[in-house]
Amino acid sequence: MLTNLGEDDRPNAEQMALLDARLDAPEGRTVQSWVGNLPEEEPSLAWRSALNERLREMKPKPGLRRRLLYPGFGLAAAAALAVVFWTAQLSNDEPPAIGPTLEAALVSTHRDSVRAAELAGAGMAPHDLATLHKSSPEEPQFEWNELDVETL
Amino acid sequence: MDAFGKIVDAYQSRVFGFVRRMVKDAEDASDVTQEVFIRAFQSFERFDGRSSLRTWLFRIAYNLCVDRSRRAKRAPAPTSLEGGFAQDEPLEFADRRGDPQGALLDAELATVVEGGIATMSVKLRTVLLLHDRDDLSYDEIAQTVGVPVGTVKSRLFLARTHLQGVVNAYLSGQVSK
Repeated sequence: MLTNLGEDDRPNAEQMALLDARLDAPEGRTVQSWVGNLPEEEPSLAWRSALNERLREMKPKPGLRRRLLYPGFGLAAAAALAVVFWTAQLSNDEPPAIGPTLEAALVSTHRDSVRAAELAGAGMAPHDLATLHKSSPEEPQFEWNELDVETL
Repeated sequence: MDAFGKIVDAYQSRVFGFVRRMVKDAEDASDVTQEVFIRAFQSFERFDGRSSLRTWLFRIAYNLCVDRSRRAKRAPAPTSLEGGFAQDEPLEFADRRGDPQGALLDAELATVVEGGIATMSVKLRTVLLLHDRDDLSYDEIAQTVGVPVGTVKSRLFLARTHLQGVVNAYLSGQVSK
């Protein structure tokens, strides 16, 4: 029944039942364990440094807006702008809630950091922006640490 | 970028392990894996959460690996069961209990398994690695590769059968020595 299956074939109902049985059989599980126990591959530190450098080059650079802000007044003006733009964006362009998961927290934190960099350059940290913005009840906060990241 | 750095920390070894077994050599694998995270960083704003972050990253990795493989023209012939390993025969593996060289053979078995994976087509290798190594579900693999779940299952079956044949041949050679 399964002998003539090709790589691009769509099995019929009977073949699907047979496939499920064979994939869950002890022989199938044995192969799964071989593949699952293959050694981990870790990229080198040089690889990671090169990636970090490329990502840094891709970050939005502070432009004319930063040069026009006077030292001492720049942060206050950026904070006021952040409140105005954040409120406007909430009503028009709020991305859909992903859900209260660790991945959602990573995604949200990354987006906050990108927005903070776009608004005020290096002068405002993402947590400064976050304290200005009251989270909606639909976005639960997830306190994650290194241990949580390792579980991914 | 710190938050994205955490994402790279969490997934770099899994993505690299997948890519390393999908492309021709280690240098290509390093390049492609970097490109995965660069593309992810560039398009992160468009990530809408409909799939998991893991599935999304592996989809980027798979597409880049396929592009690289096409360019390298590394495409073994599609695998079918005709004339190959007879899947209805019961599989018998040599009993390794009490074998003083058991620990050494595990490393050898890993090498044989890696070799078996390398001789599969890209389609079979992808499903085998994503399911049996990276623990993606059938639905996640179907989303990643863009085929129906039934096709994912048949490819997984073909891949495992191919690998069983490779390992059986190796063990038969070992036993007859």
